[in-house]
Amino acid sequence: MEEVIQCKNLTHYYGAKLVFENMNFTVKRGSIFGLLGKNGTGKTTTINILNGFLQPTGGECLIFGENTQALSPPTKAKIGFLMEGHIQYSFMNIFQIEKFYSAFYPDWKKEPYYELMKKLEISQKQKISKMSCGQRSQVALGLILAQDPELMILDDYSMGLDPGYRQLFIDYLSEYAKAERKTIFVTSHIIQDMERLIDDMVVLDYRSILLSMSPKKFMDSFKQYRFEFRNSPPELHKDEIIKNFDIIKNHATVYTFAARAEIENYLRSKQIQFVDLQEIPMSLESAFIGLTGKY
Amino acid sequence: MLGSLCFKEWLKIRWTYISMMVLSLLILGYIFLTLAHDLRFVNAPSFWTQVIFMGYNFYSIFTYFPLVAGVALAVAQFVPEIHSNRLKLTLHLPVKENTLLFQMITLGLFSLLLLYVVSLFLLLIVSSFFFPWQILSSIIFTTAPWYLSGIAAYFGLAMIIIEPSWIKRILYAAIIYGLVHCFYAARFYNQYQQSLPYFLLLIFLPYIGLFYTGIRFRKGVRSQ
Amino acid sequence: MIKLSRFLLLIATIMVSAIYLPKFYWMAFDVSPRVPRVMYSSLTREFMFIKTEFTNRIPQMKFLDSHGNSYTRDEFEKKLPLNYYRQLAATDQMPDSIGGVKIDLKEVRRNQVFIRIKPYGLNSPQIELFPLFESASGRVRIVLPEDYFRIQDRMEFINAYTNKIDREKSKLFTDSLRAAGFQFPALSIAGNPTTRKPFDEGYFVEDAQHQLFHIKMVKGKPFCRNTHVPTDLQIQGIKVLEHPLREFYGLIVTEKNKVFLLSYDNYKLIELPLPEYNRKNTILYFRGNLFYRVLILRKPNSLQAIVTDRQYRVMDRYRTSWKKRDERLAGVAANYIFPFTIKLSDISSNFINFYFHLSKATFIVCSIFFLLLTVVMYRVKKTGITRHWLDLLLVLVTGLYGFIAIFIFSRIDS
Repeated sequence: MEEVIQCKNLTHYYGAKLVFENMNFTVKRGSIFGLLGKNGTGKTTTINILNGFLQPTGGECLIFGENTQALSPPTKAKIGFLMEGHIQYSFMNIFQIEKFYSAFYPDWKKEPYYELMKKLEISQKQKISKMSCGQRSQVALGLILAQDPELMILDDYSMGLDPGYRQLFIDYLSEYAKAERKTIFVTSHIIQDMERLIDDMVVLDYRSILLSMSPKKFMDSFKQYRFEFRNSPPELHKDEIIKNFDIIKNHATVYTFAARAEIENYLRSKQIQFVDLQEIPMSLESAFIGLTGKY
Repeated sequence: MLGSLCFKEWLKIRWTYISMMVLSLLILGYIFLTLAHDLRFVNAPSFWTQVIFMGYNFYSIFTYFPLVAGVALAVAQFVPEIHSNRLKLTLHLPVKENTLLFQMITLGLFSLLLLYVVSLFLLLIVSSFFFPWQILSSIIFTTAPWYLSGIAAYFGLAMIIIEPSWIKRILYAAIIYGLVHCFYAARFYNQYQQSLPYFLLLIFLPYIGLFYTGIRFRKGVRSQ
Repeated sequence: MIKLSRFLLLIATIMVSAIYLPKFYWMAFDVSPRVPRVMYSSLTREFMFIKTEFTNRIPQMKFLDSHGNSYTRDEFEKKLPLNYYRQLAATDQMPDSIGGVKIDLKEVRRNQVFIRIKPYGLNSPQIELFPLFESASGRVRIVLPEDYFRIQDRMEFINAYTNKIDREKSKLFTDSLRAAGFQFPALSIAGNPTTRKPFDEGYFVEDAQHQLFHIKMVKGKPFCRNTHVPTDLQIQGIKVLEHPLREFYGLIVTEKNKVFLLSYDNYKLIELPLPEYNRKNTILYFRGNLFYRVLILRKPNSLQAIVTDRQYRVMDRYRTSWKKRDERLAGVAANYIFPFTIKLSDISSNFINFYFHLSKATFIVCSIFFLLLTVVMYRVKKTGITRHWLDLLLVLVTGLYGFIAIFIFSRIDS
């Protein structure tokens, strides 16, 4: 079975408010999949559905072929789950929590966990609740690594982390995934880390999927063009070609998947006077913002 | 796995549990002191008359202890679970969700029972210095509904804490309050003697109530 | 399991609703019946009444005779000299003689008897330990003994100071009981365990074979006597009197709703003429004076007074009744709203239990209303109705309660 996660026609409403409609995506075995989007676009909602903590209004999600609304214990054992904010049993210390979880997973590997713990400057009896956010993230990560799951679901792992800890987290994840052909599903609103990490991504907009492709392909095909205009500001609209635009002073910036010639033709056809059209290189993060808009 | 779960539950409740143990000892010490004092000051035969024919309850300070213990235990055990939705971690463990919840509530039940048995046993020991079996048995029948109410409150509160919606929590609380209130209708000793089996059944109605609120939690009923 | 979990919660909600909703309802709408006080005049040989009437919610007492004539309080009391002898004597209005019998205040007082037997008094919790008083101490006051007795496989005295059994005294009484033919253990023990009584008659104890024994302590020695009242009497309760008249030891109420006096004449039973007495719902008042006995049966919706002479021959009767709660508007409405009621206490018993009371069939109207409401609710929310047949059944059977239950513990849709 190549598809670890399959979401079909996923629709969810909170009361009368639509979160997303007819969302479809699949996550392949061995890939690192990023679910990206601004706050409020339904990332955590999707994670909750995937973990069986939310019943979608419509559609379904399958993990290892099982409906996420009724995951069997063996399937749950194959899924590592990192809660948003690295929530763990904070009334335990690092030894207690390791001892606690180890009983539930037959393939428990405590070495990677203690390896990570050694790097933390914490006292033996320190409760998790008394640790810093970064230290807590390492505990949560260590536990998932020790569980050695086939699929990791990480809800906003980067939340509240210093760049150093973020880096550490990503290093561990990518190494782990590559080495053991594990599948990882991450959500994040910090895009810059994703570039090195994910193989596939879905970008959520309010109510639907905005984009679904690999970051590499996205970076290759998504462009930013800037031009000057002379007279009044051009009347630009979002459409098939122009995904987004900005107008600042006498500069206009458009974001598009179109090639240079294509966009020039497009502007001409709209009778927009432009001068000095240039392609501006982008980082993944600015491309992401270009795609989703600043607001 | 059960051992591991016991370990987790114990970590959550230990201070509350130990406090309740200590509290029960303090209450029993107080009962013993006042009893010894009163028997020295009022003469013993008159004291017996007050107990036997006027229904004087020398352990009335104990009335709400089992209830307080049940409530405290439910809070100590289940509030940390819903804090930051930590219950998701528990329910994600590779065990059937209802099995986990059942184990959690049953572990709580047994710890509560242990606390109750110890306190009742000590109360009987203390009383047995001063009174014959007839009065001891009236202590059992008189305190039994108090203990049952504590268990009912524990079950009910566990269920209420897991419920995601505040409005529903308040409604459930009204029902559980009404249920618990049924155990405090007595104004005299032994009044529940004939109906204890029914009241025993009554407390098990909310026993697995947390399956119901648990599934609501899992289905993501919105907390309002 | 989730369905079972919800079902149990529904049952809990229905039970709690059935206990509290009718309780709150009646707290709001119940009114106390206006029950007259009934007396019997030894002068005019007729029933006299005190009724309370309300004008603008202010109660006012009316003093009436059986023809409806109204009296002032003074006139009224003068007609009832044996009821108001203290007031009349104090104001020097007590007649010298009644019906040709010369009146001596001391005798009037000595002949006053008052006994009340409440239904729940016959069915009350009791710790089976009793003090056995010295009934012939030669002293004026009765003294509380140091020890309390119980009668199980023998009669044992336990010293309250030491909580130890007094073996010698226990053996003395046990042997004496055995000699009198007592079969251990005791089924019931009745007496007045108080020092505030004129003299002591000890206890009446039913043994394992339903023989009734009279047990007391006379000058430190056991007094154990078989009363030889029939063993098939099925005694429900005994009220011991200890009255200076020494006419009867007390009243015996049987399971078959008969009331007997246990007379000093060799424990002979005298049956009181109370065919309508029901030990489960009737409060019995026994009032005696120099000439008459007035027996009053107070039931939930009626009051009956029976006057007898001192030989318990019926002389006159009076009966009144008032609207049942069910017949008043609030009661009729309650029979629509509540399919049944559960009470934790009942007049018949001092024990707490689930006393279930089924309403009249009119509750079906409301049940069907709530059933339709449920169907509409489920339709609107587009949940399958047939899948929730149990909800509908619960609402049909338990009406309002079931509706509240399925409202609070709503369905889990999957």
